[in-house]
Amino acid sequence: MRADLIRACCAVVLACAACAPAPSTVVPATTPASPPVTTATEPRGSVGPLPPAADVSPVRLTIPEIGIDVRGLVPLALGPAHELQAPASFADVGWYAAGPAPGDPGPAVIAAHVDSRSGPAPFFRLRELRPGDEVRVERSDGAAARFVVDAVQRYPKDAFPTDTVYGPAPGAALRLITCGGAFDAAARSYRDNVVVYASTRWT
Amino acid sequence: MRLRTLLRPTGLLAAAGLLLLTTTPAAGAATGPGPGVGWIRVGHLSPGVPPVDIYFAPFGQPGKVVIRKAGYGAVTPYSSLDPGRYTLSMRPADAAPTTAPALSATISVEQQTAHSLLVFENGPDQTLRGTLVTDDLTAPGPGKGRVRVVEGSATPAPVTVGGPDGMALATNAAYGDTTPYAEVPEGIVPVQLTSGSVKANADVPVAAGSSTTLLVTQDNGALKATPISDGADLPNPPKLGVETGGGGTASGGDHSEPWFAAGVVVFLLVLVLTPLVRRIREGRAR
Repeated sequence: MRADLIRACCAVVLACAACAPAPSTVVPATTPASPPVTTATEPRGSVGPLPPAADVSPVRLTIPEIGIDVRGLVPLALGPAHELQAPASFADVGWYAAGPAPGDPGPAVIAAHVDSRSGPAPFFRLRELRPGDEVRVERSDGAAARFVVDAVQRYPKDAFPTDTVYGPAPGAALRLITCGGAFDAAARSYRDNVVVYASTRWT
Repeated sequence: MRLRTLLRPTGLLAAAGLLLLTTTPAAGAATGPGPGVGWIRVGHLSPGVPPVDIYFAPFGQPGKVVIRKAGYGAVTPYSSLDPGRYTLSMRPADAAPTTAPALSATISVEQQTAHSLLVFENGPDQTLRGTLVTDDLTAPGPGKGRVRVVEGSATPAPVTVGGPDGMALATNAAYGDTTPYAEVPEGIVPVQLTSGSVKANADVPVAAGSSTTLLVTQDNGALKATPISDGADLPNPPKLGVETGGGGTASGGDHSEPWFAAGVVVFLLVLVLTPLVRRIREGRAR
């Protein structure tokens, strides 16, 4: 932890020390060595309950590169094995409603089928996405979030890296999930999941 | 005769092999890495400095404006970045890109890291100084969130920030200080800011799994506290993968349905057994 901090601090280098109107410097952060301690500060009481979260949901998903423009996303919940349930209809795109809405800090999750029993479904071409491709989400509060694809990965379902896919993100991040790999006819299930990682960028 | 040809063992094995192919998992999917990006944001915490434009570019390339007119107290949203070296600079708002920047920093971004470049007027003779602080990317304990204080008030200062139930989030923090994160229960966290006789209260919403920076700024001699998000995890993250396919486009199409596989097996059995039974009967008849 401390080594990480020092490494991060060392990564900053002074680039311009003679700039108008006054010289400027970049220095590593200095954090107090001692953890917070109880003091005689006038207490204001205890932590109160959070008000209900604002009811914001994604209402439109656009991925121009693979021709996706879907309105009316459906909320997704967890199943009995704590697994993310796919949309009940092969034609729907869903989002994990217990997680952040796309555009809010943290990893928002959107999932859809790659195919139905008879043909392609909304995320059939998801695997074609490449880093740099654009993903746009419109929200029920009128805000729009723009994401850039960072990586496309395929994981076996029996070794799905939950922490990697669903771990914390400082800014707004998006995980697009569908199926991939070989189809196990006996289990009527694809062996892998395709995960597209996307995040918000300044440029 | 045609039936006889089909009965040859090679034909039988080939048919069985074909069936196996559609059910054997393909190699190639590996438990690979995640997104492989780092994150950066910039904060203007210099009360005496007018709004700035923030320029940004990979190291060695001409900077482009990414944030316009960021005033005192503004912290940009995070941007994800591919690992590498980048140059961040600030110029007075609307100044020509050709003018010398008021501050410029080269930052090395590594994957799976998050940093805030906070710009204070705490260099020699109150010059601008960029401080790179490391932001939290780990998940807090169950039901908890994390809070830290960035002391961005030059006057009044230093500032003490009291948290819930007598907890101290910052004790006599000097202008430019960033405290370590403290874990607090999820909820509305009451805080009190104190600097000498100047006091201010704030209520900070903290969700479980989230990290928050409480930004302390000055406001005409008073103190102001503004919570900003340092990130969030997925509360109640799903386990395992997601069943998002019906197999309609898998190799074999509808033939990958289980009843088809069973049907093929029955068909092959009939093909094998029928002549056997016939031969046995013929043998008996003789």
